[in-house]
Amino acid sequence: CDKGFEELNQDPNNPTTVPSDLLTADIIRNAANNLHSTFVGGDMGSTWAQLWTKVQYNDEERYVPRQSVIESTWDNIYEDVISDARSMEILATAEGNDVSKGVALTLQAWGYSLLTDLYGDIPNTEAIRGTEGIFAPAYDEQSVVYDSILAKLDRANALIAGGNGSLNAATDLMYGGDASKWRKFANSLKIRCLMRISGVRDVSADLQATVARPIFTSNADNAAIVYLAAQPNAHPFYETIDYGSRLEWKVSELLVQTLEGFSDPRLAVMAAKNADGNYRGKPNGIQDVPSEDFNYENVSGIGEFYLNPELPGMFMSYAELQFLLAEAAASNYISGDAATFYNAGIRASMEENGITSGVDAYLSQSGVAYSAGASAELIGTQKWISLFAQGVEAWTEWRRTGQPALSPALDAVLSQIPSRYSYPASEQTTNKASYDAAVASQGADVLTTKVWWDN
Amino acid sequence: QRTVSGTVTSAEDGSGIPGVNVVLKGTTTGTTSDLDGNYRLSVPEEGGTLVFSFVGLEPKEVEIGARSVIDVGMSSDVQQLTEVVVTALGIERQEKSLTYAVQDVKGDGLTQARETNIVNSLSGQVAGVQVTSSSGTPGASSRVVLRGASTISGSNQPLFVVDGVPIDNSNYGTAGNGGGYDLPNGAASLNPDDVESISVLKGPVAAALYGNRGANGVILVTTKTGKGKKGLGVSVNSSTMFQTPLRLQDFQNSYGQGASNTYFEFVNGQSGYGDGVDESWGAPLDVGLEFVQWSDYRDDGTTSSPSPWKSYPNNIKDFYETGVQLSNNVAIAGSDGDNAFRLSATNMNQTGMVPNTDFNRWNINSSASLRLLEGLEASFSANYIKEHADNLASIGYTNDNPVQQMIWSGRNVDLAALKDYKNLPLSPEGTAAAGTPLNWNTVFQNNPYWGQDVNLQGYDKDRLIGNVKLAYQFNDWLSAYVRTGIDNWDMRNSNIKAIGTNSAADGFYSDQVRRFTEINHFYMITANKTFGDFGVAVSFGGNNMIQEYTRHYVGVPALELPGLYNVSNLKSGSTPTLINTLEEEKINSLLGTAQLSFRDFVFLDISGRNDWWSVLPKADNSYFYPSASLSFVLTDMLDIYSNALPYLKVRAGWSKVGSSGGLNPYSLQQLYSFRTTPYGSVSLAYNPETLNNPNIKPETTTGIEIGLAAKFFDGRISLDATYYDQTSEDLIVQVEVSPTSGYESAYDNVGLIENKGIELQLGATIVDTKDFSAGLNVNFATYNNDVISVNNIDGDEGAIVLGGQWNVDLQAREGHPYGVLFGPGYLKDEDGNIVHVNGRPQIDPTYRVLGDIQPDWTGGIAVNLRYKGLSLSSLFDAKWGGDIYTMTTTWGRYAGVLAETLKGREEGIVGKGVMQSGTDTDGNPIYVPNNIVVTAETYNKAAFSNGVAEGSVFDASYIKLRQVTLNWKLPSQWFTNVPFKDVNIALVGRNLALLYSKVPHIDPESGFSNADSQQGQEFGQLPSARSMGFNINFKL
Repeated sequence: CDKGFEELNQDPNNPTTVPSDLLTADIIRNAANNLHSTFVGGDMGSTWAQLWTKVQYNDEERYVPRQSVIESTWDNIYEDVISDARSMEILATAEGNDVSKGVALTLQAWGYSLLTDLYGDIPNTEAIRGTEGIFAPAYDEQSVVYDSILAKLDRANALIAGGNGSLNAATDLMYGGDASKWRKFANSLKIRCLMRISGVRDVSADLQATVARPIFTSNADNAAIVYLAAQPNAHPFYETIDYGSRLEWKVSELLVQTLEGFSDPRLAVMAAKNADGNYRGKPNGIQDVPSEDFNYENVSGIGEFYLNPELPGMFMSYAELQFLLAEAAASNYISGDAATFYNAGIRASMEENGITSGVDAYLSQSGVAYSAGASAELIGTQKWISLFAQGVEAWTEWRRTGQPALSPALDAVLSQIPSRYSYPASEQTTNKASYDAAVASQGADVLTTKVWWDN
Repeated sequence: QRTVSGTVTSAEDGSGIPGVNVVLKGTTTGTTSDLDGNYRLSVPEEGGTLVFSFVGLEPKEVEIGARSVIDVGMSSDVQQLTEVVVTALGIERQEKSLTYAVQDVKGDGLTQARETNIVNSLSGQVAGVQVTSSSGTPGASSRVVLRGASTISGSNQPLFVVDGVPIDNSNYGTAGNGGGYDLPNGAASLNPDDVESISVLKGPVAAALYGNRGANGVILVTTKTGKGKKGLGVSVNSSTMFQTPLRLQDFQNSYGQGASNTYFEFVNGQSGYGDGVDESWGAPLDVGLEFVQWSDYRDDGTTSSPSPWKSYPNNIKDFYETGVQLSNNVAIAGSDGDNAFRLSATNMNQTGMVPNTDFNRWNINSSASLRLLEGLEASFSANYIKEHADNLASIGYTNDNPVQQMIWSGRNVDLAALKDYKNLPLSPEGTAAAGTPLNWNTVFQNNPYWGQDVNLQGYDKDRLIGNVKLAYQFNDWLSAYVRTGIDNWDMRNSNIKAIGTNSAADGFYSDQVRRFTEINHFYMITANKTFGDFGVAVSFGGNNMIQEYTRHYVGVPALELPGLYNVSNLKSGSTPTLINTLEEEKINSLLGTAQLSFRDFVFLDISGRNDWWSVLPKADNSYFYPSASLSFVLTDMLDIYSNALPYLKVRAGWSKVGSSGGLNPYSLQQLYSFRTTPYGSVSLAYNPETLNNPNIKPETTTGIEIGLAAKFFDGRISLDATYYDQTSEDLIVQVEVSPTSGYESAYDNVGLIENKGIELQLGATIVDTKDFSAGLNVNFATYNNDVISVNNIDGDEGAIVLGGQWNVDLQAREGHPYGVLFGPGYLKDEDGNIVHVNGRPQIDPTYRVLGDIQPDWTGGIAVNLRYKGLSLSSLFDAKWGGDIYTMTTTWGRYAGVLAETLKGREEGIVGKGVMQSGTDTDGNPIYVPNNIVVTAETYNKAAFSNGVAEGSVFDASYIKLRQVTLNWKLPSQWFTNVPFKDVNIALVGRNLALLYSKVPHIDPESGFSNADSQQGQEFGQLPSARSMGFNINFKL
């Protein structure tokens, strides 16, 4: 009575297996869409870094986090980025495709680094093992997660350097199949990770060794998804703010004042003029908006350049790397001239913003020109400006360096700028024992608990 | 030998009754009456008694004496014990022999009600049946559940079977939180004019023969045939119904749009910084103020002088139109005794209360039976159904739903002035509505009349439900039949959004075709024999089911040219969404049933069915579903029959049935998948987030039921009571796992739900004379539903999310009834007082159960009065207990549009509750009564928002006047010289009045659609309809 049933129940709609590199596109797309979502990178990144502000619906800006964002970031990065990159690694191993495997490891490392920077201790050793029946993985301390990230990036560098295998140019939404650029990304990302933990661990030897490998050498190496001209594959800023007509995201008063202070040509790129034809930022926070003081009309919006549907969705830029190297040199972690790195970082940022002239004059002015005595503040401020469209990284680097100096938002519910995301509530039901252990180890599950590298 | 002849007529109307058995008592000599009720029989010269009998009529014995002509009038059996009820697999049983709960509804009740969705006509009629109609819009779905929820991942609605053939009752709408549209549920295709009767098999005992499709009970629909008709008959039924909203929100009319109580201005096509404030916390209306408003905006971008700031109390009421529903049916039926046929054509045409919404349905029904040879009968029935809508209404939280902008609105807006949108200026560049006709708000909303006219959800469905049956009667005790039945439909939906639509700035078009086919082959052999005091009826047979479902979807997210809705009109650079799915499954079954009776007062039923299901793992795809039930007719058995208690039966049964839950084909193996929207030209392969389970099993429901049926006082009062206790286990659950495992969920058989309850039906004939009768029918059911387990994590109050909107989930949560509303509530002190800070109610960061959707009981009371040809019937129904989360209240209060937001507009509000005054020595907070005055706006926005749901969860209990019909059967003598006869005129009212409700602003009987996940929640619900009209039917 069950003749032919097994054949009938074979799915005609979906493949049983795929080439490893076919997974690359969806991993990159999911990662970028989450990172640059106006609710993540905007509300709980850029407004916390005080680059952006809002003239309505600004609870998050006042440190009332949106729980669904906390939840979706955790879910998306684990389920759609790390899990798929792990599948990609397993498939690539079976294929003997070292390049694809190296890319898979790089993407996993990126995912873990984002999550641990946002949440602190997270599952890593036991994570992504649902097929083995592990549905409630233990959390690892952040130092362990960082060890694992660094090891993955080292393996990625070695695997890609070996040159066995290849990538599908079409599905590589970042580099179009150029393995050498992936190698540069892996190594540059490792430098970011090493700098992140430089306050709690001596990273100088590892850093010096990594700098010697291929790393970003220009904006052409930037790790960024190439977004398309139309939704749903356009940059999330465009999709929400422009296409979705949600104009409440504006530029902050601090950004406008800072850029105006340097006559920075990037102001006209980053900010739009208000209804009066001026650049006018809004102080961060303020409970009852819009108001006659701060509303849709009289506060400058996000500049047109950044609402371009094809704005690159940046994972890591050459400019950021230069600022990190400047800091590493200034701190004597690596050899090299901090000023050179610093100036290269500003030039790269200007170039990213489409500015080609007047950069030399800009670099020489007081408040910008490099001085060893004020290196932390100078590098921090310029890096902050360069991260205008990378809210999460801007906030995270502020947490690490305290640069530029920021005061908590007005009418905020906390007296300090958040130090992390709280864990998603779902972990308390699906993974309670592990969650409880993590909270016991790391500290209360609140926005103000500092992560390991921030201590 | 001599001959006796005569006519058997109905005592009620004098018409001849065909098919009456006429037997000479004590012999095998007998005959049956012909089509006109005439009979002729040879009898002995002397003495003798004739016995006249017919199912449903009181048997009659007449001594022949010396007569040669004996005319007999037969009347309905007052005890109704011989009434025939359709049971599982279409087996007809006398009610007396039933061993489980079955309740039926006659077709004439359905045609009178004139409900377009046949499911609605069950509301209040059958004990234990819960019906929820989603709204009063044309094509709206309705949900029916018997005895509460028994599955978590699958549908809780019963299997619908038409003339022995299972039919699809799915709803493929995309209703809900994010907007979308509801579609008619599958059973809504059925035409009430073609239904002879509906039989409700409420529980697993009655439905045991349906095996793994029986866990939710079964609704058996029998369509009309020509059998039993005399000659050729034509009947015509025409009805006209008018629909108006039963209930609209109660709006305030004292304050207009904006956030400033002194100022408003509409400039540059927007209302200044206030345009982000599509709310009514603005300046007072009707006090002589004047502001520049939307209606003062001119084509050239300038504005004319300010206009009076005044209220439009009926602006929303006037938005709705009177819905019209026309239904016309013509049926021809005939029989010559051996062969019979029926042909019926019906058109139902409906226009909605929301402008430019409609729904049309054509039903062509045909059936015939032919006696090919002695004992060999061939029959078929075919229902062709065509459904069409130019535009079904948008629903849910979307600016495509016109009701949304009534809730986010300026109360100063003259909606009617927006209607002539073709002569309005266009919204200027820089606004979201740029290029589309002006609206009072151009940032969040489009002109609602324009939206209704240009943004269309088209719908078409073509369906054939039919079967062919060949039956052979070998002899007087052995028969067999084979039957093949099919339910086949094609459905097309298109969705148009014009360029400039708020939810799709570049326009949108999608076209989707679904096809579904289910074919069932049945074969059965039945033996029916009496051995002395014992009766045996045994059937054995099989069923092969094959189901195929395909779906093709093309969606274009942006249009190149305006006004052209074709997938080729894809905007350059954008990417279409492409979906194409094929699913196939089979179930092979063997089944058997036996009923043993002793002296017609003890009945034992046993049955078994074995199903082999293709979706299950090869090694474990065979499941057996048994049942056993027993009844005793105590009045006969103990010989205690009396006029006061002519009938008393007790019954008990046990059964195990199954359910597929949410298990679909291809759920065993882990596969990769492609996103349906590629990245430009790049395909997106991914690893799905749900982990399949190669060892999955079907769900099982095991239940007992006990009951009694009694009649009192010559059968004038009847009572039927049932108690049931059912356990549904191995429920297939997508167990939520930590995403850190790489998966969001994993399939497992871990759910367990218990259902217990009581069902009562009481019928009373209070007066019954030739000219006047009065009767009463009462039904009542209680429910006790308990979700015992949804996952396998010990000590955790596990929960599975069924659906939800904003941050409120509808969940199956352990230790609670199925369908709890789980979300953020107010922060409270130990005594339950709401904690305020700076005068604002605080939100408890820990989400909790705020209510549940399960009623405590449901009931209905039908009162039927007749005086001569005039009959009046009314039906009241009630649902008691259960909650609803109404975001209409949330946003309506947040936005200051509802009447209750007038409180404290001038003087402010002191929230009822406490505030912290300090801390005690242990560091615990000390609370004192809150005394901080805040503005009404501040209070309402703190107390009602998407951040806190508790204030918008209400007890959904209601009592409704469901139906009133006044039917006049015109005296037959008026029609002696015209071709008409049996003329009835009826005035009909449905959903007439909400007599009791604790929910403000909306009909508590609301849900987004008939899907389980969409119950107990609403936002911007299109109102339910109060339907009134008339119905005329006559025969030719």
